[in-house]
Amino acid sequence: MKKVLVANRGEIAVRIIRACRAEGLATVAVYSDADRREQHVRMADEAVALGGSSPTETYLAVAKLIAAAKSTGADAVHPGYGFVSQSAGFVDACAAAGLVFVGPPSEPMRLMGGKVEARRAMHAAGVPVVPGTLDPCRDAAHAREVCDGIGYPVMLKAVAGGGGKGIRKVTRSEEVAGAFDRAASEALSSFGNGEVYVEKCVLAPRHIEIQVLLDTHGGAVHLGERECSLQRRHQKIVEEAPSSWLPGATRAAMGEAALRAARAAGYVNAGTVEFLVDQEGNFYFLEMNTRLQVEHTVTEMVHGVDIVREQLRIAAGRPLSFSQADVRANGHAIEVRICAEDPEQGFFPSAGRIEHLELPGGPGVRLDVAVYEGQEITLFYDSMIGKLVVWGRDRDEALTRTCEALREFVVSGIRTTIPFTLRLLEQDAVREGRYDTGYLDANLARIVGHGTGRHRFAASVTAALVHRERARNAARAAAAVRGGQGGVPAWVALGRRSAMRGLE
Amino acid sequence: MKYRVTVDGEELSVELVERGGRTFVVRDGVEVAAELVLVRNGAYSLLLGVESLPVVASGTNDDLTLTLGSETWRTSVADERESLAAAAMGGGSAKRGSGLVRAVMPGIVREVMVRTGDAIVRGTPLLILEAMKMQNEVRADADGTVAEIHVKAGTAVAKGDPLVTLG
Repeated sequence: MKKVLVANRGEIAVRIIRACRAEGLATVAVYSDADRREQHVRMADEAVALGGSSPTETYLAVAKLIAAAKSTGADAVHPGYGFVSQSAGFVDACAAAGLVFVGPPSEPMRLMGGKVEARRAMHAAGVPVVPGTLDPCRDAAHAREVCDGIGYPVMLKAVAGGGGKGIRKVTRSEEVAGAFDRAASEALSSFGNGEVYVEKCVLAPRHIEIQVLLDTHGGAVHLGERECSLQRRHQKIVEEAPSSWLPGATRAAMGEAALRAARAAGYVNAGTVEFLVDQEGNFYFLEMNTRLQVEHTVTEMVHGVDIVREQLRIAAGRPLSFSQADVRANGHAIEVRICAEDPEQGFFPSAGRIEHLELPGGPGVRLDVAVYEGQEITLFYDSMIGKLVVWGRDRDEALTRTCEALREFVVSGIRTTIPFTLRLLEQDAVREGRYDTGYLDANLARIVGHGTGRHRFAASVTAALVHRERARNAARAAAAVRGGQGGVPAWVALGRRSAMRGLE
Repeated sequence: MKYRVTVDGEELSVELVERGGRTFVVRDGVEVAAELVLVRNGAYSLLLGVESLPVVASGTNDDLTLTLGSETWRTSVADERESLAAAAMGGGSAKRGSGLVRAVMPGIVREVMVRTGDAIVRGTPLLILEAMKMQNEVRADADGTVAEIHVKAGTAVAKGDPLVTLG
């Protein structure tokens, strides 16, 4: 393995190129029309245009990606996350083209991609799954019988469901029949499969996941847990390692269960086994992410391991560079996803040009970003523009440093989630580690609102000062255009006006 | 010069007093110096007395979003002349949510969640606009009532197209 094609964009493509450099591997970037100026294209040794801008004609276009690898003589492909990273078809296409796929084989990917199949396989392997049925219910009456047996509340889930479709929470026996019919018909019309199964509803759960690494020589390690309970509509916002709450015995049991899950699936390379953990510390298999995850960084920070580099070693057929006995957690790390979204407008994606950018620094601060001043943020791709990852000796230090870094982090020209996340981390419940996966949705309005409102007066003065500055600029520009009475040549005024870009 | 500023729905009067090349405002009965300098497009540094605050500003004077530290404020600002003109036009100073909500990006309306005549508060979801396969809630930015709905589920809209008129 000598040259790796990075089939992704943005911060994760940059991250993978760095790991390739550390391993002495040459790199090939691919890019869409919109991405010619992006950092991954400039950083890689070679770059190939895919043609087009939409994901389907670029970073999802399997044939184009394979052709780019062949034409540059790349012998491996790293998919990053998103795009083709969980496409078993892409894994098979790589194999057919003689390319090493930096990730798991296609069989475990397929197995873990099917909710009911994964559930059944994990149950058989002795990994705890959420109580419920392993097979679809025959009809509404059967579903009611099963639900009564499990106890309420329960979730009715479509076998082929996803994106919140074909899923119903049921709190009483009388509601089962109606919910069953609606879930089934929704799933049938959306996914062409109306099968529905039943799971117990885990109340106030925390989302805790285990990072695993398995090589082709039988080596297997788990790198402890990440807690990702701060979610907005199932989208992770903040992740940390270790969990603020998980008891040590549960941690060890989850690590073992995660490795059992990976081995049972025939898994190789880096993967993440996600669990729901209830208030009593019972944990249940949720799903396995068969790829590098966005939040792998916090695990790297507390374990001092370069996970992407290990992925490359494993893909090249080499053994892991360390064993379970070497794994030691040190300190605490927090990752904050920085998104080009406007929390004030329901987290609407915010497109535009990054006019001004100040990146934070200081002890323990790591930035996995691919942003620059003048960058155009388009609506073609995911709104996450980077990650702030902060390490501290303990959770308090990590949190304090994270908040300070967010205060230093200035982006103008587009709206970002930076001020919102800062307010989130300032909440007492977050400081004290008292939250579950429902916390953010339940408290969203209050957090999106304006915190203490300490700066209301300053905001009013700023608005007046901005108004005055704009009026003065406009007057100056107008005077210059009229014939230079303002002492400013017309071309300067013109430049100023275009720089204002309709802000007046 | 006096300015009428609304900060998150609350109407305030701000007077900027210029003296000796500096600007002053009155805070709790005490005059303090106020200085806003541009760092780079949209990014400013505010000194209020000796209190230092980084500021990011975006939008027009009618709809100016200001981020001061961790706080984000929706504001609008008009000078005395503009406020008088607006009053003369019959706009008065009613600061309920009135006006046109436009599409901030091209997309397809997936669902309209309000009906004409509905009373709404700031943050009420009005409709779902799908763009680049992402479903985005468009919310009311102030209290008011739904005066007119210009789209229905399935309507394809361009950037700037009217969606809902709030009265």
